[in-house]
Amino acid sequence: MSEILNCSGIVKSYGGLCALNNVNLKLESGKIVGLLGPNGSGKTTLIKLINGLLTPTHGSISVNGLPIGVQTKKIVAYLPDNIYLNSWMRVEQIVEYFADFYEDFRVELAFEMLGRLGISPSAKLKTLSKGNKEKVCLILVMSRNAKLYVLDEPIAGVDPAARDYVISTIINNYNPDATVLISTHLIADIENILDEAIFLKQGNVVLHQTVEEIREENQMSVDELFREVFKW
Amino acid sequence: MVKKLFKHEINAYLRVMLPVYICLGGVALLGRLIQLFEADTTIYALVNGSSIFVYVISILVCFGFSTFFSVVRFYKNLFTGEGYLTFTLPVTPTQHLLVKLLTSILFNFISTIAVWISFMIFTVGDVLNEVTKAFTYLCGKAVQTFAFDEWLHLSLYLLEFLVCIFLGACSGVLLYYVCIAIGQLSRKNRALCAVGVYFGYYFITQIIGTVLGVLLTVFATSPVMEKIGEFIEAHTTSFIHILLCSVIIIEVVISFVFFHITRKIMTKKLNLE
Repeated sequence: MSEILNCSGIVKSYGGLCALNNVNLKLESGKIVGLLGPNGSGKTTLIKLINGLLTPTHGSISVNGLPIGVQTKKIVAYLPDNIYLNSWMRVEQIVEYFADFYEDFRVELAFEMLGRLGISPSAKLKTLSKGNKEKVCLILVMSRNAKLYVLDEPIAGVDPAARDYVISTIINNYNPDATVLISTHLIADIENILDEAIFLKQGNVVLHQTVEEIREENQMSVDELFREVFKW
Repeated sequence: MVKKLFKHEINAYLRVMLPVYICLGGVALLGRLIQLFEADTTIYALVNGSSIFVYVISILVCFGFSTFFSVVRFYKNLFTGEGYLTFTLPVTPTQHLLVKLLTSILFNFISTIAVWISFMIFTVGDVLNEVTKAFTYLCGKAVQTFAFDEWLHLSLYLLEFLVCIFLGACSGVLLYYVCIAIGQLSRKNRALCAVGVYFGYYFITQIIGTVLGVLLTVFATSPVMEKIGEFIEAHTTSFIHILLCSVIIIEVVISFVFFHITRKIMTKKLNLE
């Protein structure tokens, strides 16, 4: 297994507030990893750093051995926690947009998934419901044959049926050699698909273990341990 | 990647600007058709006057909208939710900035052409013939008046002037961009902050301009200024070159500073909503 992500001594401060404090993290290829923590624990900040949307105050990040930049953006598929689509575009135009910029984008797969949802390629994005827009975003990301998928809160704010759709879309379409990093605080819904879990508390990594290790050592599920660690 | 960025940027502009150009052409054509009636009634005078007024407004809208859209596009595509996609494309911030800048200038140029074509539509017939005749006459006079070496200077003036216009357009667009980039550093009221930065810059440049103007007036009779005056009188041709080249240098410096600040913010200080 090769190393896909390496965060070394990452510190990120906003003015006087320290969002991430000396985060050291190594992820290997071919794993589904949960980035778990309550709101404000630094999950989104870490994800933005991995995607080059922020620069660390201290420390360095590499993806597949490369510093964050154009080359890493070619192999990282990112799903932000908000809708990022150009609302004036049609579905087919946004698919073309992705196909133009990402060499690993699978156009047929995208249209196949859209078809299964009954979303017309000629539909304008602004006419879609919020739920369908989120699904289009997910489809676009999962249609890439990336080496690292970074999904920020993909199941937050969606109903249980939609959660199942999101999880099955991730499982059925990701490149098996790739790593999927899923940030969430809804652990029970994704626990069964995780290989590893990272607990992030107030900007610090307080735990990084395989799900098996967590269950064996603590005799409890990841969800139960999460509740224990982050108890108020 | 730059080609693809251009393609999508031009598509985004065309979606908005094409209807504006079509409307401008339509208003010009309607105005010309109204002129054909030439009825001597109050109602006709009112309709004709209104058509001219609407045409002038259309020209202003065409120019204004081109600039307005370039500002809106830059803000929305980079610093709102769309920025999450834009900045995760395998493209550098420098490429994003260059493509946005050049597309904006391209559409300012296209708007100028569109206005010129609409003017030809609006005046086709006698008026356009008169304008063409006057233009041809002036060109002919110019050919007869100037000697060969003067033509060389004139060609250089023209070239320098065109470079000045291009760089002026660059610094103008980049001023908007740098204000937006600085404004987005704020946690709240980003658009308001950008407007504040713009007016702050405008205020400072006005003060500097006024101070320089006052200094020039005060020292107008000083020996140094007299020497400069004598130089201008003796070497007018060279002085115009010096003046235009100075403007070019200043515009290059201003554009570089604006570009560099904007790129730096886009690279290191991105603060997406």
